[in-house]
Amino acid sequence: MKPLKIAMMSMTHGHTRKYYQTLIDNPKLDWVAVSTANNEVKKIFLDSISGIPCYDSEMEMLNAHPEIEAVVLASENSEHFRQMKLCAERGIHILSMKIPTFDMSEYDKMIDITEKNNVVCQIELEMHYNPVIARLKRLVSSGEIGKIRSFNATNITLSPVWAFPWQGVPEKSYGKRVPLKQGDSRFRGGALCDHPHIFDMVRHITGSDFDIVYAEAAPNIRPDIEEEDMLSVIGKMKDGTVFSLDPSWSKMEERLKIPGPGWEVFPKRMEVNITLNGEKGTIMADCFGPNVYHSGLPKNRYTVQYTYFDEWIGMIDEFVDNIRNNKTPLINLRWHRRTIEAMNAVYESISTGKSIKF
Amino acid sequence: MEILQKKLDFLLKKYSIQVNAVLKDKKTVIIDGRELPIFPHRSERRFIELKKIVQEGTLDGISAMRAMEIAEKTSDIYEILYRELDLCEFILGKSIKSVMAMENENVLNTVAVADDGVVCTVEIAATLKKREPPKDKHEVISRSGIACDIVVDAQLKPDSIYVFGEENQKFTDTDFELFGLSEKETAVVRAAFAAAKNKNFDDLIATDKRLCALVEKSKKSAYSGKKESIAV
Repeated sequence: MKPLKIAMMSMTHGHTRKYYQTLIDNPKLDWVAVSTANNEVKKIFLDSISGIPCYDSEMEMLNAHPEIEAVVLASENSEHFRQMKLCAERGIHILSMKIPTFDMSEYDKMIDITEKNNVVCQIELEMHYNPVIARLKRLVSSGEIGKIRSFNATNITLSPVWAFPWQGVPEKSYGKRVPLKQGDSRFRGGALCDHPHIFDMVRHITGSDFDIVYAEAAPNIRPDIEEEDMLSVIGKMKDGTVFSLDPSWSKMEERLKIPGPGWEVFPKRMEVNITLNGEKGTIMADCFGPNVYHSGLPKNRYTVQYTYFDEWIGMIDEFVDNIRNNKTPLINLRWHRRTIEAMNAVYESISTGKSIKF
Repeated sequence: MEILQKKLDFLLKKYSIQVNAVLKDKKTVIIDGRELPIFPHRSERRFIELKKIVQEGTLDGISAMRAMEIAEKTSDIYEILYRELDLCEFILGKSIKSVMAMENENVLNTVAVADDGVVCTVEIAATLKKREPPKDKHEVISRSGIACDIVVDAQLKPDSIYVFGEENQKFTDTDFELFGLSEKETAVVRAAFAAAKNKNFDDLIATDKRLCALVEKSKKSAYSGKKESIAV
């Protein structure tokens, strides 16, 4: 199979670095170029990777490399629609970050423009390529715990706003400045916007759709950011499964400009745990464990050192297969729309103090 | 109950507490003819320590508490909710002002909000086979850090001793004075003894009444799909 000629845009997203190794190693890819949104991310990229042409503008890159077949939109949420339009109209396939947009009208335009131009648009929800999730799905489908009665999950991390400042700007993260609720000085765009995975996974694991969503925002543990960092979500799926989802930034961090050793204040920077309670028993899963631990440099703090799985390998393999064999991605724009609607319902519930019925 | 009563009698005698205290069951003691709720969970060492961490300033700027319990299939999920809501109020030293609950047969998820906006999430399931020890976790999240009764990066609590012999065994002994009792049994005896010693009978009854009201509101919420408020 001919290697896919791929590029990256913006390089401002927190997941940007995750692609470096895969784009270099994967024999199905030919990494052609990148364009960077600003000098800061340009320097970070050039300090990390050599031999890949780096441009200051998307147009400059696309004009210089008409051979580009696909682009990873590694950008802030507010840039996604413009970049998708740019790529789709040129027939370039798209790998979008996990939140295409929270504006549902804009979302529908994304569906329209990618379908009209017959390009693959895959959403980056990498948990689907995680081996613990693969085992979990197998256990569920084999009937190990019978019908699922509840799906409880955490997707909790430190806050990325110091390293990726756009995530702390409501207009760039949520798309506009919307107060969290009356009398609250915070705005939409925080932890919830960073953590769609468990809203997606409850749909995949149960095979059902959202019925009712209720949420509460807790007081921020970072009072100096203007978005929510702590929230709790419960609800019910149409098949009766109840859920509890924690998408908070509940792990405290050092305010580093570039993520690296010493980022953690709390020993563990990230957790995705899923507990499934069924009619015949319970399954508890830690999607990123077990790990190793150290109390070494730079802070001599007890720290969880991840023994990461590389979800990006499987995800990129699927992306290439979708393009070369004209397949629809597992996580496509139409599938993902309901997940984004549910996340908007969380904000609506926080705002109104009421449960939101679908 | 016989062994628990013997241990309770031992403590009463040792510390010269002059009352007639009879354990009715693992949640109730009759002291000088008065039937009292005892909240055994409040006597578990881990919860006493979590309470200290929260209320003596180790944690500052509390934001949220997360509680989870998975129990035997035959357990009453609302009885577990009673205990977990009490633990939220006991550990945080706050009163819950609203509850929203979602129920599905043997599972129950609840979000409760305290009078100062702290959000408590309680996840309950009754799914385990008979005699399987309950799995639980309690975590308090604040501006200054996190307190939890489970070690970082683990899903389950460890035990003090593991034996890998002809028959694998594990032990967690937490009380020398009451050695031989399980953690839960120890808590029952300690709670009954505390009631006998402190004689705070009216407080115990008022707390029980308030928790029963919280549970009723939760049932109502689970039925209606609406948040229920409680007078604080």
